[in-house]
Formats: sequence, structure tokens, C-alpha cells
Amino acid sequence: MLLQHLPISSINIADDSYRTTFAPRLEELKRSIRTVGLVQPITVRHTTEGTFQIITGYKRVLVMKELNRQSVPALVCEHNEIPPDRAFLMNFHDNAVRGEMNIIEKSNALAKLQQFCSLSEEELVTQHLPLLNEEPSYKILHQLLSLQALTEQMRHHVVTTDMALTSAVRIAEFTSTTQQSLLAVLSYIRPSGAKLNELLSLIREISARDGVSVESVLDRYKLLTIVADPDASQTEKVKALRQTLRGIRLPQLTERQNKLAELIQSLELPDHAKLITDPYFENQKFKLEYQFTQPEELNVLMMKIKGAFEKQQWQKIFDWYQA
Amino acid sequence: MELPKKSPKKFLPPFRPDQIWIDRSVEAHPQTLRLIAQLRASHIDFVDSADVVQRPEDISEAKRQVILSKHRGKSLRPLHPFDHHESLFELALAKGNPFDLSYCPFQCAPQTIPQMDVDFEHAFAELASCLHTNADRSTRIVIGESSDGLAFDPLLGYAALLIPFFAEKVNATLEIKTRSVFIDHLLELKHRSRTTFCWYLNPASLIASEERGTPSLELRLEAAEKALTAGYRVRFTIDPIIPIKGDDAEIGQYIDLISHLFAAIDAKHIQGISLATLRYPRGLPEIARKRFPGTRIFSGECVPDGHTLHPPKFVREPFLRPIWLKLRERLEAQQIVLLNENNDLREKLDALLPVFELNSTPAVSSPLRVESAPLFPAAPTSPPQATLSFSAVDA
Repeated sequence: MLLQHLPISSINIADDSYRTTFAPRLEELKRSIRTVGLVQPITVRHTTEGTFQIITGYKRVLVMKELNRQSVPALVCEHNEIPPDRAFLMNFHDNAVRGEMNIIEKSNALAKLQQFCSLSEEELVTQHLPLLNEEPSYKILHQLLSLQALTEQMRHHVVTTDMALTSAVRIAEFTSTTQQSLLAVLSYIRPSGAKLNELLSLIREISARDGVSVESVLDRYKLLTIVADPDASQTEKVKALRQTLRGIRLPQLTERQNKLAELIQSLELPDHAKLITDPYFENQKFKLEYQFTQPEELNVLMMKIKGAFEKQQWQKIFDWYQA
Repeated sequence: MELPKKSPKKFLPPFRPDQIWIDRSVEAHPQTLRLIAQLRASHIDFVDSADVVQRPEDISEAKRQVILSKHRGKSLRPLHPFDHHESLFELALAKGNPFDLSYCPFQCAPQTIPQMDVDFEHAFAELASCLHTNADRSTRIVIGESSDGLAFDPLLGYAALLIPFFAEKVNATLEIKTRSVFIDHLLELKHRSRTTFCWYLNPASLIASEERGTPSLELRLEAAEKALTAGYRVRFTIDPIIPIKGDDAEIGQYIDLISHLFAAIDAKHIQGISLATLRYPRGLPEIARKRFPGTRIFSGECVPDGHTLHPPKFVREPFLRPIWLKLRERLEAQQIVLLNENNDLREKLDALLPVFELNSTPAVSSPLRVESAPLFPAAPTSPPQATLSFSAVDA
């Protein structure tokens, strides 16, 4: 292995044989290289075709190129000096020790460990997952490997939105066409991991119940229109989407909850008074909660309750609720 | 009335594991030696402890294996009795289940390889001691709660020991809850009507799609008929009842199932029928969907109740109503148990019946063959007490 200054143009950046890096964030590295130059040389493999494959230092090459540098210090290995599995292990350890890999990079690393090194699942779990700061678990291994089924665009979305592994795994279960349709909706919103999982479950369950594709669900219920509303905030969009999907998924519950809200509204109870019921209509009991500071406020409540009694509104609620 | 078309019968061999793990502590046990001789096609490995066996992540693969181990802890677990005059226990001689059910909540648990205690003489000793302690009150022992009651019996042969054991008891009965149909070897046993077989039933289409490796509805009903002919008591559990859209077509499947049941088995000989709607832990749909890609059973309207989800009352009630009424055509109200429901619902459902039907319902009769004079004088002819108040879903 010799240290050389290689012209950047001689490095085949498109050759991703040993690359695990995906959608890297380069700003900090760029600032560092601008300030002190490249501290650590890259490692390349000289192929029989005469090109140079990057073993380690893909991000450094990208930054050097962006900074319009003409050459880069590189440790050059001849093709017969380092076999592909060894070259990939160098890349893996170089990236793993930095501890900055996103879930797509971890997925790429594990997939390539399987490809180049023919490692067993047990070896990946016990020896390599801990290096990626992951629990040594078969479940996590399979989850990370399943991300290989994500489309290129969805992978970018996963990384840029810092999506949780559990959500990315759920999306990876969809076909690439479905992922594309989902991406159209997801690109408008930034839900939390738990919310995103709930939205995905709702969409999938509606699709299963109605026996139609996910694309049809998105289309039929105009979900894109909801999230594309330019006047709504991110939070409002997520809330509106969740409400719509819950209404479709749980039509009877939603209808009952709306009807109950309407009936309670008709009681015209004072502010700070709440008639509480079991949201799922299992428990038949009602609870009335009221916050007040003055006896007059209590009087207001009593009058309102009495008025509603006279108009048979309480009876109406009880009859409807318990039917 | 046109009866539903019969579901196809299919031959289903008894459970034979591909892989057997033998805990060294039982390698010389006569049961182990017998099983090794019997299961020559299975791959056998000896391990220092059952705990060191690596559980496969794929549950289907785990279900093709079995661990033969030594009895540890207690085999009897007290259950909450429906009838407060009796004591109720589950006897667990095995864990896990070779049957693969999409709705089984144990799919969420890491312990997946079926495990059998070969030294079940300990369990019998515990059972004898329990029955002795409870000699002054009626005691019912159930097998088939945390595993299928008979699925492992072709290997272990415990039923042929338990049934005569209970035949000698005065104040104790055995209930075997199962989806299995391998009962021929039990038909000639001395049982004195102390053993009840309870078959889990579901519409044939649901059995085909959601209960892998289980005998068809036809075979279960045939087995029930054989058991009745042999003088055993028989009851059924329709579990889980699954409302998805809750429409007439869905309800019709259960009505057809009941028609089918009453056509195959004279209702007079049925001790009772339990009904349970679907109830599952929150994490189950994600796991089950991967293992049963075509399943739709989790897409019905469900609401949370603690850590589980279940159809809300306003879905359950209209769904159960026609099923209840259909059962009430032939059974008395106390023969029908609504699992996981309070008494309000059964009262509400029964109030829908016309009065003349209530008076004309036939009482349950004794089994077809009474083996000997009953030890509970009233039991064979009077309607049975409703039996269980807990959900019963196998692993």
C-alpha cells in the first residue's frame, strides 16, 4: 500500500462496490477540510482496468471535488494486494468506528458483509451489529436488511427525515410502486415515529379490509389533497390525515363519537364543564367534571343541567348511549 | 333449510417433529427412549438444558421442533371459575402448539418451540395431591388452555392415562379442549362420563385460512360424534368469532356453522357451547400479517382494552345476536357461555327471544352410551353449568 497524490479525475466515484455511505451530510467535513485540509488519506484499490475504486473516504472525495481540489492523498492498494472481502471490511470498520451511520448505511453495510464476506447471520448479529451500535439481535438484523427493499427515493426520504427504523421497515414491506405513492403523501408531512406507524397501519388495514391496493386507498379518500393543503401547518396536516384515516378505519366508532359530541354540545354546559364517557362505549357510566372558583359558577352549572333536563336532553343522551 | 356444503375432509397425520432437542436430564427416561424409537425420521440433538436451545425466529420452523424436558415448577394453574361452587385448574403437560393459528397471541412471545415434559408422573402426583386437597368440592381440570389438549397426545399418550384416572374420581372432572381429532385410541377407555371433550370450531373457510395444520371442520365434527358414541360428554367453543365488516354474509358463516353442527350432532347431546369474539394484543397484527399474508382478521373495527384490542360492544352485540338466537333454537340459555362478556349482554340477547321458544327448548340429554352409573346423579340429565369465564386461545 503506497501513499500517492491521485488526480481526483482518476477515481471512479460511480463505482460503489465498497460504499456504504448514503445521502451523506457533508457540511461539517467541508468546513474542516477548508480549514485544515484533508487530515486522513483515502484508501483506493487499483483495478485491472486501471481505475481506482474507493475503499474508504467516499465523503472526503465528494467534498474535495466540491471544493474543486484537483488531487487527493490516497493509500493505493493493487488489486492483487487486497481481495474484495478484505477491502470491504476496511470500509466497514472505517465507517463503523465513526459511529455516524444512518439506518440505510447500516443496512448497506450488512448487505455487503453478506455479499463480500459470506458471513452467517450469527456472525453478523454477534460481531457486527454491536460495531454499528445496535443490539445483537436477529430481529434488528432482519429489520435492517429489509431496508434493501426501499426504493432510492424512499431511502432519501428515510434519511432526510431521520425516520425511525420501525417505520422504515413497515414501508419496506410495500412494493416499489406503493412506496412511490406513499412518498407523494409522506413528503408533505413530518409525523413522529409513533404517528407515522399508526398512519401506515391504518392505511394497510383499510386496504386489507376493503380488498383494494394501498394506491387505491390513497386515491379513493383523496389523502394527497389533505396533506397538500398549503394553509395547514405540519401538525394540522398530520392531525387531519390521522382523523380521516381513523374515520375510514373505524367508521362506526367515529360516527358514534361524533353523535355523542353533538348530543353533549346540545346540553350547552358552561365552559370548564365536561361530560366524560367511555370513548369506546363499553362502560355505561357517565362522569360530569366541572372546575369552578365561585359559588355563582356552580349555580350556572346547576341551571344549565336543570334546563337540559326540562328539555329531555339528558334522557336523549342516556337513551341513545345505552341503546 | 338448505344445509351448507360440507368442507372437504383431508387426511392430517399426527404431529411429527423434524427436530427433537432432548434435555440430558431426561435422556434415559423411558418416555424419551420410547419417543426416540418412535420418531426415527426426526433429527435428534442432546442439550445440557432446554434453556440453551436457540429459538428460531421463524415461528413456523419452531413449530416443527420439540424439546423433551424435565418437569419443573407446577403443572397445575388455578383458573378463575365461572361457577363459584367448583375449583378450576389448568393442567399443562406441554407448552406451545404444533397448530399454527393466525390469531394466536402467543406468536408475540419469544418462547415458541413446543416443549413437553416427558416425566409427567410428577404432574400426576401434583394432580392427585390437588384433588385430595379439594376432595370436598367439585373440581374441574382443563387441558388445552396454553397448548392444544390433544395435539401432543399421539406422542406422549397422557390422555389414555388421565381419562381412566378421572373415571375413578368422585368429585372431579376432566375437560380436554382441542382442535385435534386423534381420539380413536381413547374411545374404549373407562371414563364414566368424567371426561368432556371440547372442540374448537370455526367456519370452514376460516379454519382453512387461519388455522394452519388443523383438522377440517368435518373431521372435528366426526371426532365429536365418535366421542359421543363412546359415551363421552361433548361441548364446543366457537372461538374466535371475527367481525370484519359485520355484514350479513359474515354473520351467515357462523349461522351456517351452527346449522352444520346441529345437523351433524344432535343438540340434545351437546353439553354446551362457548362463544368468544376476537381479542388480541396490540403487536399481534404486525407479526401475524407477515406469517399469514392473506389474513384480514385484524381489519375489523377494534378498540383498545388495556394491552389488547377487541371489537367494541356496538359491533359485538349485533354480531352475536343472531348467533345467540340460532343457538337458542336448540339449546338452553345456560348452555351458552359468552366468554369475556358480562351478564348484561346475555340477558339482553335472551330478552329478544319470543316467549314460546323459551318454553319449548329441549333439555340436554345424557350421552349416547352411558358407561356406568353416574357418580354425579344429576349431572348427565340436568343442563350443565356454564363453564368458563376466560378467553381460550391456543398457542
